[in-house]
Amino acid sequence: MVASWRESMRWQHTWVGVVLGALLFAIFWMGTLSVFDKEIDRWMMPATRLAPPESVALQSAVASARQVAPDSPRWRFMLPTSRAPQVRLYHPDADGRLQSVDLDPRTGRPLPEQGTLAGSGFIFPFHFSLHLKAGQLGYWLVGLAGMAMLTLLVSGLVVHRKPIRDLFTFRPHKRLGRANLDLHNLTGVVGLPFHFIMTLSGLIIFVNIYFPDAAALAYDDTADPQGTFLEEGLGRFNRPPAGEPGSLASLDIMLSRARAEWSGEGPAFIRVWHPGDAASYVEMRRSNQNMVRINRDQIYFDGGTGEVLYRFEAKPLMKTQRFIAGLHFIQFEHWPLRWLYFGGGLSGCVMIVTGFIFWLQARRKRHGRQGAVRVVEGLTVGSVTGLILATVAFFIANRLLPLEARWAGYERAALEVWVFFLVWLGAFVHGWLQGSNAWRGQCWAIAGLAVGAVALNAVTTGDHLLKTLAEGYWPVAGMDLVLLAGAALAAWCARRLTQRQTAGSGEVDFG
Amino acid sequence: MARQWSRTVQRVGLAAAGGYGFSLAAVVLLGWLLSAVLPRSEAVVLAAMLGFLVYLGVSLWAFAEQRLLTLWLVLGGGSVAAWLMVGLAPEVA
Repeated sequence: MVASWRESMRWQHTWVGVVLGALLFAIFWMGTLSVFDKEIDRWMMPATRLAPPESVALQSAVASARQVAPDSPRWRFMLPTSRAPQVRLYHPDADGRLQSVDLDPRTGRPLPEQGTLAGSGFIFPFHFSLHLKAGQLGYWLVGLAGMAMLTLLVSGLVVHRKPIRDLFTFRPHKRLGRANLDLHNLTGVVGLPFHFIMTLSGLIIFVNIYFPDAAALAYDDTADPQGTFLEEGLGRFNRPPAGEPGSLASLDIMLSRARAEWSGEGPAFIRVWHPGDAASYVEMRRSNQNMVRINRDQIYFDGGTGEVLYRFEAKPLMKTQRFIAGLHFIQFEHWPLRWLYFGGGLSGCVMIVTGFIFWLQARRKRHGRQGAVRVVEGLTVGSVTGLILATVAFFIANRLLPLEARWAGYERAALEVWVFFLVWLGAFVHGWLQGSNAWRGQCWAIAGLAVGAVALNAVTTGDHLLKTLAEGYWPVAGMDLVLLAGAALAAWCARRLTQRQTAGSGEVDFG
Repeated sequence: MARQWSRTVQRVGLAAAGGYGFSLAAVVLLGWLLSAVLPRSEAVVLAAMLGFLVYLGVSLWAFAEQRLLTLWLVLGGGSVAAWLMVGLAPEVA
């Protein structure tokens, strides 16, 4: 019984891993980068390389919103944090699509358009939606992969069965197959608590998407069970527009009132509903900078008089859900922990890659170079080094495209995304054509492009590494340093692959 | 060979879809039961979070259990129960 249980877990671990590994790697890679999404934003949007402001010119920001989006049904001002110094204004356009513009926090004036989705607009949403917009297909694929990841972590523990020994075993100088499996077990066991909590919390963030009918019985006396549940659990205030013009009272006074209620802490964002209407109202959501929880503390003010209309604070279990979400989002300020998250994410990437390589090595011996092995090899190369290459190409495109770039009806931001996907596609083709030789070529390409990205940042923005290091401007200096470290690692991998003339080793290569 | 494939497809389908249906049934039912002792928004969010752990358990079990019939009965039955509760609940009330 025990033997067959372990055997079934081995089967599960092998095949679920091979089928979903590519998707999992993409999610882990983008999630790892998302730990520093705001820093990537600074690197990719030089006009926002500002010092965090002491205070925000709210009235001027509102004046800018009146100019930029006079007819929008709502304005959401994301207030500056220590990692994102600008005020970002989100407003739905006439078609209901959300647009954004960055404002200088000191003057409230729009900053020059940067024409990029950058980290928080491309890399971060890729992590949880894959940018698949049809329905919620991307969310469900990521959810499926997440559940599969949880089962893989458990079945992996059953299969390897010597977790304590694995914890202290890494023999990099043994033959590649042995070293590779050691690395798989080591990252799997050391990272297990982190990977398990991150995967589970990632699922729990979207609990309302993945269990959209959870409230069916508990709320069966209401016309819309899920909607009523969300209203009660998360707090919502609604007031239709009056259809008559009205004025907006001082946001600064509302802001100081919110601060007083939240023991000095400010809001994460201010949202003006129905601006310009007599029934306008202002929503403030408490900042997450000083707590793990992504909180739902809200205060609503009447737009005309500034009177408080509604207050909300979530109940304990909903707060627990938001705490678990906050563990995943890491929006609070904690630099050592942020780097640990980055390392933990990379260890997950290594675990996935080494798993793939173990599968390939086991089969290559038996089947040579045909059939399924060939397909999986191409898939692995494209989805691992190919994805990393595409990411670095995305950074390069960001520094090479002129600000006014526009081609075949596509805006600059879309062109960057096109570069990303075309390079990724090319890497798959290269992988299928070249088989295991493609690892080496793509490692060299990653190394070259990563160094190129650092050089281009220096040339196009003047913020070269010596300057940013001397000034202690870490968002850009850190990004450049990580790019250089990634380039060195990729070059080292490529050299080792050349010496051995065998299939790829799974060492970390990140750009 | 064909029989082996058919069994594998059934098993994977039961682990993914049947496992989801079973977990949804557990979430809906648990949310309702807990609402007797908790504010009901709290009951629902707790049940839904626990649903992922239920799903983890049953989808692993789907690979370990040898008899497909048992899987069909438990996971298929759970899915039907979920469908009944979600689909028919408003009429029941």
